[in-house]
This record gives sequence, structure tokens and C-alpha cells, in this order.
Amino acid sequence: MTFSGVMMIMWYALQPWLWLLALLLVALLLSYGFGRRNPGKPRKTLWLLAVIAGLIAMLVAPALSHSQLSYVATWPDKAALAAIGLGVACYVALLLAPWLRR
Amino acid sequence: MNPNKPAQPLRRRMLKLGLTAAALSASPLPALAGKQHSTAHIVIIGVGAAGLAMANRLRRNVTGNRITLVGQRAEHHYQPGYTMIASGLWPEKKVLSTTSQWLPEGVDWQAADVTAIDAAQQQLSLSNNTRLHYDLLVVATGCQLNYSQIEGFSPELIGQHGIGSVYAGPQAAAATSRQIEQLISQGQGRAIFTLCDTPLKCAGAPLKMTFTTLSRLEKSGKRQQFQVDFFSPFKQRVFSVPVYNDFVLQRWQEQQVGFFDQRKLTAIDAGANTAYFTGADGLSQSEAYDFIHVVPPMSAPDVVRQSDLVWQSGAFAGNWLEVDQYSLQHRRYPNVFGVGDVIGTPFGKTAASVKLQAPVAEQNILAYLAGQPLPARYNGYTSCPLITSIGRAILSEFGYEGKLMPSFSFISPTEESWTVWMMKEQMLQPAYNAMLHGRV
Repeated sequence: MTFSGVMMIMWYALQPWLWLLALLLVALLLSYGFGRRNPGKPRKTLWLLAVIAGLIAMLVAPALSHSQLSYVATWPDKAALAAIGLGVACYVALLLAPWLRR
Repeated sequence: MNPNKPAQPLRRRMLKLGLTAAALSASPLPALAGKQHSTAHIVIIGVGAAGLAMANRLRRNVTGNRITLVGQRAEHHYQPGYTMIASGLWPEKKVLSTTSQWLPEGVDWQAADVTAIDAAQQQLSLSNNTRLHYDLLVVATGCQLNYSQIEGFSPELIGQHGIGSVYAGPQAAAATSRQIEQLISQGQGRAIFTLCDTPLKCAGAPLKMTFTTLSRLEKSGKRQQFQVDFFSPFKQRVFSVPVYNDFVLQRWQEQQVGFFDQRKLTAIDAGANTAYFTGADGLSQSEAYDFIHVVPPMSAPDVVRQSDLVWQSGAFAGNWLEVDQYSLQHRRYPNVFGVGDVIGTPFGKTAASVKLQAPVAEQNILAYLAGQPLPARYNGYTSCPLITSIGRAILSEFGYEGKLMPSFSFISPTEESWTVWMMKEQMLQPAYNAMLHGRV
């Protein structure tokens, strides 16, 4: 499959979820709007929360897709699950960073 | 270059170039190259996946002519989703859309069915009593489900007396799921799964239905109370590609599924919950069931079978559209091309096959209109995410002679995977939609 073909399918796959992506982006922007007025270094709690959110995402992702964790067996499965966990952890860290400062 | 502007580092310029290229390739813009001017009237029969994909592709790349799409059905069905409905995972509405929403501008839609094809006169008769002349014909009618060839059976029985059949449409798929639920709620019983002896669309569907039903039985915690049997008309075969056939038979053995080969479903007594199978010896035997999944014999629609476009000899004689299996051009009528389930080729009766067939047919039609040799070849590509239980699947991709054709080097074509299940559940419908628009 060509790169452009994959990107086209991704575009079609994302279309029904554009509202959610926009919502997540707005939440991030609002959070940073607040954060600009609250300078400081992030607390350790932030990283802990991000890791917990990432782990929860990894645990529930198979169930949300009508599957189960034991079916995550091949290395692409594990890579996909890790990417989901990492993505959620990064988003939570970015979202909460302005709120959890010393 | 502006001397006051600092030169960008090479790394940044390369990054910009790469992003621009990626954005351009990802952009849903029409292809700029390969347009053909013609005055030929192109008629496409069929408003399913193949017909709509061809209408979108040809309208974009042929200018100056009339394109007519013929087909009565106003509702469009995402057929690869039927197994998800019949497995109790999707609602019916997830596979429904309208034909009109996929139609490109500049294509005339005749909402009527073709009743006769006169290939010699290049003319079609329609159910609205009109006649339509064509210069170039694309046959994309899909295939016909011949339930009537099973004695005592009619599609109205689906959803009653423990009868299911995933192929008959979204309502039938939902009714099939309800029949499976009813079987499970009985707490015990016998489920029979069947296979027809003709070429069939989505040949993995009968196997998927067996696997997902096994998953549901296992989830109920009463698997041991149920007898699950599969009846195949072929000898030691349920799938035409050996590696997948062997996998399925081995897995069923492990899952204690009874396998009965060389038995063709020939009749059903719905009232008595009894199916009749004819063996290789020609003798009929009866089998009682609490649930039966019926796979009907399939063929091209009667209007194609009764025309001169049908294969005249060989394995597909009298049943399927005669095309060259590589160019998809009719072997005797060069102004006729075929795409989708209707064509008589060794493989290629899935929506994924249409994804590969449509660009081949499009390129060859453009070349034909320009009076040039046909450049594109269809390699028999067929794909089927073979669901092996609810939550995991194998991405089986193959072509002519059963050659494996994996699309992604990092996904094994023989391993069960959650990623492949995710592709089936989340990504295939967007890919299908992009295909209908002729974008992939």
C-alpha cells in the first residue's frame, strides 16, 4: 500500500472524530492559557498521573475494541498498545502541566 | 534569495520538503494526471461498491462524455460489516448509507434494474421500460444469492426456526445474531455451519461466523453443552488458500468443532429443524440442528447469465461474467469490462479486491478509449481479515495461485493479531469509503 493511500485512509478514519480532536485541542489550549499566568516547574505528581493514565489506557484499549488484553500477542500489537499508552500519557502530562506546578 | 534572510539549515529545508510532500500526498485532491477526453457514452451497471468506485474514478478522469450508472437500489450497504452485525458487535445502522451520497456530480443515475443485455447491439433494456445504448459498458452488478437452490429454503426463513445467514443483508445479519443468542439462551444444542460449492463473495464469512459463534459460546461459560459442526462440500477444504485452510481445520480440531467434508446442503425442513446434505456418493443424510448458518450458492445475476457476456465454457460457464483475469476486459466484447463479485476469475470476490480491480479497469478503459494497448493487470488480490475469535484476526491477503500478498511488511499474514482486529473494526470502513470515492 502506498504512503498516500495510507494517509488517505487515515483522513477518512479521522473524519468522524474531528470534533473530539478539536475538543482535545481546545482543552489543551485553555490549559496553556491558564498555565502562562502560573509559571513554575512541574510537580512530581504530574508525571505519576501521566503514567497512571497511560497504563489505564493500555489496559482498557483492547476491551474498548471488543477484544481482550490476552490477544495482544504480536510485536505490532504490543507496539500499538505502547503507542496508545504513550500518547495518552503525553497528552495528560501536557494537559495538566500548567495546573500542577510548584 | 533574500540576502537579509538567514539561510535555513539543510535539515529544516529537508523537513519542510518532506512535510509538503506528505501533505500533498495526503490531501484529498483528485489525481491530476491521466485524464482522457472522449465522447463515448459509458454505462456502468450496478450501484454497489464496484459500480460506485468506477463511477467516481471514470467521472474524474474522463471528460466530454456522458456516464450513466444503472441500478435500482437506493440504500447502500457496507457488506464487510455484515459479519460484525451477525456476531452481535455492530448495530445494523452502522453499515447503511444511501447510494446518492456516493454519486459524483456529472453522472446520470438511472434508478432502474437492467432486464436484458444485448451485447451485439450495445444496448440495455431497463425495468422502467426504457432502452439504453452504450459505447462502453462496465458490468459491476455484484453476485446473486441463489437461496432457492436449497430445497425448502427461502430468505424469509432467516431469523426463524434457528436459521441464520449472514449474506442476505443487514436485517438478515441481525436476525442471525438473534438466533445465535437464542441458541445460547437454550443452554445446550447443536449449531451447524455450512459452505456452498460455488465461488462465493467474502469466502471467509462462513468461517468467521463459526469462530465468532464459538467465542460467544465460550463467553457464556457453557461451551461444553453445545455441539458445533461444520459441513463443507469440498474434500478436507474450507478455504482455497492452503495455509489458511490448514490453520482453520487445525484450530477447529482444538476447539472440538466437528468437521464433515464432501457434504453439500441441498434441503432444509425448517419446521422440523432438519437439514439435508448430499455426500460424494450422492446419498442424502439428515442432520438435526438447533441453529444452522446457511451459505447460499452464488452466481452472476440472471440478467448476466442469460446474456452473451457470460462465460461460454470452462469452470465459470453459464454462471459468471467472462473477462480476461488480468485486464478485466471482456474476452469477446472489447468494449465491455467487469469489476467486482460478478466476474469469473479464480479469486477476487471481496471489497478489498474491488480496491485493486477498480484502478486496473479504470486505466485499461482510459487506454481503450485512447486506442492504446491496455497497460494495467489485476493480480487476483483478495483480502480477508479472517476473524479467529471476537477480538483477534489474521490479515489474509493473497492473489492468483494462492500467492500470499501482504500489504504491510510488519504484519505477519499467518499470525493472529489484535492489530488486525482493530483494522477490521476501525479502519476497513474508512478504507472502503475512500474506495467508493475512488481515492484509493
